[in-house]
Amino acid sequence: MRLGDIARLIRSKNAGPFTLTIDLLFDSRAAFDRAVGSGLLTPRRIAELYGVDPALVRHFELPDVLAIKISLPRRPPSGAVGDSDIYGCQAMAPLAALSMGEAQP
Amino acid sequence: MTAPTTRPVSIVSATGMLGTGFLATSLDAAIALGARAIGCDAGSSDSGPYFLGSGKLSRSHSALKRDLELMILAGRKAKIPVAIGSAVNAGADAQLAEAVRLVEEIASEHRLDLKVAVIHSELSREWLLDAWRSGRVRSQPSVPELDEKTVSGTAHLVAQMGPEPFMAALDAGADVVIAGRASDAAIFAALAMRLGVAPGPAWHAGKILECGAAPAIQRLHPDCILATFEGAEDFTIQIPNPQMACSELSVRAHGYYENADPFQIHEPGGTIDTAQSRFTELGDGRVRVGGSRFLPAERYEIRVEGSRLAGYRSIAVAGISDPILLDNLDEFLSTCEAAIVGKCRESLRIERDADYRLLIRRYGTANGPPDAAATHRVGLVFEVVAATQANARAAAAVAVHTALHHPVRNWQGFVSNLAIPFSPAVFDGGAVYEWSLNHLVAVDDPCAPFRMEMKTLTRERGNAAR
Repeated sequence: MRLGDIARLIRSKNAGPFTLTIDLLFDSRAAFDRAVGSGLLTPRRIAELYGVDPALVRHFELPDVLAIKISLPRRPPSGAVGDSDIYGCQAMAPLAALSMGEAQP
Repeated sequence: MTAPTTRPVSIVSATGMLGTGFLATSLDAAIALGARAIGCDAGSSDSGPYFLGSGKLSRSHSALKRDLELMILAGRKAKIPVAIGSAVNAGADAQLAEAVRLVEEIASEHRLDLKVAVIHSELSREWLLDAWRSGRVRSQPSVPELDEKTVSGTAHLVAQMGPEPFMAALDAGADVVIAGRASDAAIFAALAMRLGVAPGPAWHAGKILECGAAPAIQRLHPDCILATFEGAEDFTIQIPNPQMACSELSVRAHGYYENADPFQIHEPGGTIDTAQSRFTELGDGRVRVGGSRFLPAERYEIRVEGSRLAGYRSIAVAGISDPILLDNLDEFLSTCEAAIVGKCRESLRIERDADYRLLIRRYGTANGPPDAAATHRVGLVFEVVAATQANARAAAAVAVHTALHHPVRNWQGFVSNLAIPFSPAVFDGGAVYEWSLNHLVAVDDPCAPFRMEMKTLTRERGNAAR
């Protein structure tokens, strides 16, 4: 069971050329709580996963719409030589692939 | 300050990006529902630094003209203004001129009398250096600090205008406003505020409208979206195409899209604050929004964007299916890379990093050996960025040919490894640009940096611009 399996949608996009923003949207309060409770999405863990300064990772929990938003610096900036994803659309992949352990009923 | 509205007023956003299309029937429906202004965003930094750097258009003339023509004709028929922001793509002067040329063509073909306000957003390097020297430039956390070298190396720079230049153009009697780089939301905020709507609902509605029909539960295709303002602070979001509807969740979720912070959205001259916003489904695909605020900033700041030339690119694309090679892909690619660098030194007398940059991109596998049980193909893109196109092309040709026959551990004899899908294998990508600027500049007058010219197109004079 991966984080991507319990979310309705995980999407990422540039928020300007120097910032990435990732939205994790859930269908149920149980799934939202499980993602929040997993401890996988803390600024420290996100900083490790994306190789950025944890002080620059912003994390929002939006329980009333069952959403989590994470914004972080973009390395490299959009369109820099070596960038592989001009729109930042696939920056969500490492989050979608995070293991949530065994499937729960 | 404008007085709060009492009568309902509506504005329509034709589509999320000029040139991506919308249904003519949807625009007609929006006007029948009472739209008193038509707006459309025509640009973004999303498609990368190339368009600002090169001044080229990201959409074809025909696609842009189709959308502009429908909007201008609808605007003239209903006698309501049309405002385009970020024309076209990045707001560089060369792109703005293309948009103006299209408007002149449309006016001429339809024999229209048209007052067209053209608002420039391209600024000089000297303008930015002056602002920097007087301490008016601010860097943001993830953006490098500004220095003189960064400014002098910038090919083109633009600033995002707020609503004030649009409002000044409309006050001067413009039927059509063609503006360079603008805050997406500011186009619609300007149209709404000029109809007497307070800044809070005007700005928040603008933020929701700027992507066209994207706030729909399921956006079937690019299309129009309407905001209707009622009372002092409420507005209703509606998609005029009956095939698409909004829900509370779809409108709220759209508010998170592309915004780093879901509740505080920084704009020229202030911040849209949606922390207290209320969303109510009206049950017929419409959603009412209330309680949104616009918090004016202490200093009015505009965002400057710049792009610099980074070199010229050539690429080659290839695939590898050989399972024996894939057992040792890392080793294959690292030794191959060293061989490419050596060959470029020997044959072309160019040095990696000093003269060119080489990247071998992998698709279809993570670093490390692929899963042996799976049958799959790994995609590679060989990329060279050099100071001249000739060197980029030459090095890319070396790269792809070297890899083609590079030895594979556990095979003996001469090998050919790449499934090259194209002939020729090497493509010239042309000039490469990188963002050099993304900084905030404090200004005393939000209109001053954005030069406006008014063109009067008249059918009697054969639409010669005066």
